[in-house]
Amino acid sequence: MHYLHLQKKIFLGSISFILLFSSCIKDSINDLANIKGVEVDPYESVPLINTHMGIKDIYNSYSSSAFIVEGSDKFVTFIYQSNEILPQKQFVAVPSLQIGYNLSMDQGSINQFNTIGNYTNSFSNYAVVKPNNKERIKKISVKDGSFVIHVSSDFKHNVVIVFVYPSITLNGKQLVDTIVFNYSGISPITIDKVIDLSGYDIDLSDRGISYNVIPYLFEINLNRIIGNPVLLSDKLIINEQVNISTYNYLQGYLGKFSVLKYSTDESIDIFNKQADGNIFIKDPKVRVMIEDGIGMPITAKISNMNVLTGKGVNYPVIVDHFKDTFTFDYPLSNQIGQIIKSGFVIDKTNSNIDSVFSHAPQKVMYDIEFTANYNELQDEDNFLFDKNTFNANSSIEIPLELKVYSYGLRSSDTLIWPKVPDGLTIDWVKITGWYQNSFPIGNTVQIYFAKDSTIMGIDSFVVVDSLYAQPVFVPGAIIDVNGKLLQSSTVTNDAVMDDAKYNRLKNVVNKYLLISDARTSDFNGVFPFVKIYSDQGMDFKIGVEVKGKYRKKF
Amino acid sequence: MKKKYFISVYLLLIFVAAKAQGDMMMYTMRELYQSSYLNPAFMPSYNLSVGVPVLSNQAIGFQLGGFTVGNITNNIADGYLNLTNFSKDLNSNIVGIKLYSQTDIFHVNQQFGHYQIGLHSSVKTNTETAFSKNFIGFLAEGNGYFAGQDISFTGTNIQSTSYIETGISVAREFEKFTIGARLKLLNGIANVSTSNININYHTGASSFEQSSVLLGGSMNTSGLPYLQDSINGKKNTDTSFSSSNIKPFDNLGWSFDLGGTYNITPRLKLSLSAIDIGAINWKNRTYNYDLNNVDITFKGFTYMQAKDSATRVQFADSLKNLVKTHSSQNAYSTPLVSRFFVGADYDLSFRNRVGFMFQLQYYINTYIPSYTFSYSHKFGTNWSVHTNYSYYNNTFANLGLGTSIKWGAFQIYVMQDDILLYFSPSNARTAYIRFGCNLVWGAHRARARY
Repeated sequence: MHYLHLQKKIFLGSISFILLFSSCIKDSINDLANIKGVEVDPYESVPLINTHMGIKDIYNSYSSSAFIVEGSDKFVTFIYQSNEILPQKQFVAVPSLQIGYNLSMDQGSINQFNTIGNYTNSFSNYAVVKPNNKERIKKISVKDGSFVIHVSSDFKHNVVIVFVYPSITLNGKQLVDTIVFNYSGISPITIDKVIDLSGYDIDLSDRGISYNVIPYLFEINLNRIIGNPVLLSDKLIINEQVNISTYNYLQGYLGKFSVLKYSTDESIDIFNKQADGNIFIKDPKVRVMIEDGIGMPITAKISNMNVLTGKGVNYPVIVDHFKDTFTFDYPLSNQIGQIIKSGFVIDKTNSNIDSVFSHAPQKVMYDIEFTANYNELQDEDNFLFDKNTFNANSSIEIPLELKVYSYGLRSSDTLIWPKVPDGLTIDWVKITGWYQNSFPIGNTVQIYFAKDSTIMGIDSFVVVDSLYAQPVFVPGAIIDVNGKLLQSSTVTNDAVMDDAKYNRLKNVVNKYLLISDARTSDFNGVFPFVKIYSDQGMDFKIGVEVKGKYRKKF
Repeated sequence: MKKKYFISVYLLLIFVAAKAQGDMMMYTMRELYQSSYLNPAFMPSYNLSVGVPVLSNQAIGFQLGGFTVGNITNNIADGYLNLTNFSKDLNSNIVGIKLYSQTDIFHVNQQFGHYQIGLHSSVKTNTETAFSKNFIGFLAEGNGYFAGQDISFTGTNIQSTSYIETGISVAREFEKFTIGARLKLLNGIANVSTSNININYHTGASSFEQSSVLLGGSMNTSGLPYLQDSINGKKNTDTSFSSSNIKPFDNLGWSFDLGGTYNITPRLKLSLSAIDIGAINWKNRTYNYDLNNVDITFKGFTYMQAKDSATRVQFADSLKNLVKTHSSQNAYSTPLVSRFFVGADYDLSFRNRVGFMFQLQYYINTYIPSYTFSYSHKFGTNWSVHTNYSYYNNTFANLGLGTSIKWGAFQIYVMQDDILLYFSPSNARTAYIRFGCNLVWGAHRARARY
């Protein structure tokens, strides 16, 4: 009985216990069951950019049109280059050469002919080339040409004509041509003949003592046909023409003519984004180089040189009047077939180019003409080939030894905000930058947030806010009085956008505007020219911290 | 002198070794055949015990490591669980969840004089998922809070095994002591196990400084689909779950249990056991994923990468290739979760007994001890009530209750190690219940007191 009573108590106690505390479990289960989702308050820190930007990297980030040349000491020179390659052409046109001769007999010759039965006439002379441009041609190696012969005879007898051109040779053998007229009862007799002169050499110097002349000899023999008379009016007419359309080689004084003429309009994009300020390049140059296979003096004359600045202002480059014409070396007669390279330079010694370049030109424009025999020295022999090489290469060289007082850059582009996952709200964003500058150029930077707008009917944009409260100054490297780099500079900065600013900007801003103002390092207030080397640069490290709240509903 | 020496060694074992959790109550309920699962030398109160198929033993355990339900419910605001605050509340370097279940298919246990022979078969599932507190914090709070620090996610681990256990046990009772052993054939159903998971993350002191991560580790699976696109250059076709892919007879293993008891005095009994010493060899549908120690440092994008999206994609692809695991299809083995018990019982009277039990269990990379004090009382001849108090899982608030009642041949029992769950569910770290129904006959006179 005692145990039965105890068992009852324990049983009732157990029931009470279960009823009492099952509600606690129920509450907990309810709490868990009612969870709608999870949320976190993430604070993320991420390195975003870590890069080194040397002068090449900076330039190549927006252009690649300039050649960047490093010296052995890594000194950097920007070169903007344009090439003009002259197509092969026949610079000199050899005029056609006319040779004419008429033969008739007087009464005495007729009587003698009737008696003897034949008649011989020899004639020699010089055919003279009439130059178009004061040429004094001494030798021609014919590439393509012809000897056109037209002969007509009234004589009712047989005629043999022998033409001899001792200065026209093929493989050393002089040109000799014979024309035979055999009278067949028809008069006059006409013969047309063309001799291909391709491959012939023509000496127009009369064995080295003259020019533009071709000696020739005609020998005419008439053989009587008995019964046929000879009249005083009977004539033998010879007309010859030498046509040289192209030559393989031409020697002599070949006249004055324009070899090449062009205008340059070279963009200097190293200054492309410059907005304002002064930049001084110590020794800018315009260099013209030629590759010349033409055996005659070539003279270049440069004219109308101007630079166009970013603001659209033209500044003339005034080249010393006595130094604006340049004559190049050329292959001499013992250098036939060689390409001679030479050039000339326009720099601060012969022009005001250094001061003009302080306006940070966007374009450099000039005209240049290359003229053969500019000084018309007719006693000097020239030579030309059918395949002449003449390439002109003009370049603008900007050695980066410079000083900058205030060099403003503007750059704007579309700003694409990073996609934020649904459910993420941002409390703040902090951008921290670390910069180490080994350029001897300091820079003040501000980034503006902007939105598109139309002002006075023109598409534009208006600035809404800036990233930094004050522009950030990254000082240039420390230099000595000679501009030599002593120590890099390092600076750290940060910018914080709270949620209000972040959300406001995110909703309206679609563009950013980068404005920077650079100046070279100074030494106690003095701005020496400083040199930019390829191993100098700016090291950027930029990191982003974001604090927010993320909710994810189940 | 001999007794004092024995007791000293015994206590030393208790306080120096130690680790355990779960099944504190079952160790005390010696009237059940199931208590012999924890010590094969235990001989239940009845000569013959037959398990009612499937219903004879159902156990479900759930254990939280390093946090409580309250850590979750306290950080719910506006219906959202704030994981950042949750991670800050964690008071352990390792956070884990363990799930345990056991269902007996059958058991038969017969005593012959001083001998006891038993046969049983069970389906068991052990799942342990552990994460480093740092890992949770890193995900929930972000890396900004760890600026300038190296944080290690050591401890992250997943071990999940499901298997069928078929065992035969023999116990022999001597005058003062009893010894017992059980040999078990194991048939693996499915497994996921990770090893050497090594994740270290360094956050730069400033946001612009480089961050780096070191990744390494391996994972084996059996009976599960392949998780990557291709293996050995061939496209993966093993992508879905299917019961036909479960082949327990391909995944064989063996384990054994050893136990003993010793009566120092007629009222004081010491007990000692080691169970689940063994391993399973997994051969069916195995996949091995290995990630060599990959050291990734991210300093930020270079100018070219920042400017050109194609370059960034290229960078991301190379990163993806770097962290790609190497896969193979080799057999592997996993050990069982072994447990060790040391106990002492003292009979206060015919109906009252007190006891102490120390359990050591390998749990999520560490040995976790538990200490249990128990009290048992027997009402009449067929009803026993047991209660215990335990320290385990870093909490003192563990009060257990169990009871068994015999009605005819039916022996019905239920036990729970953490009944304070009902008082303060928010502080609970454990939920464990075991119940079942045996058919028993022939009470053993000497053992039928409890």
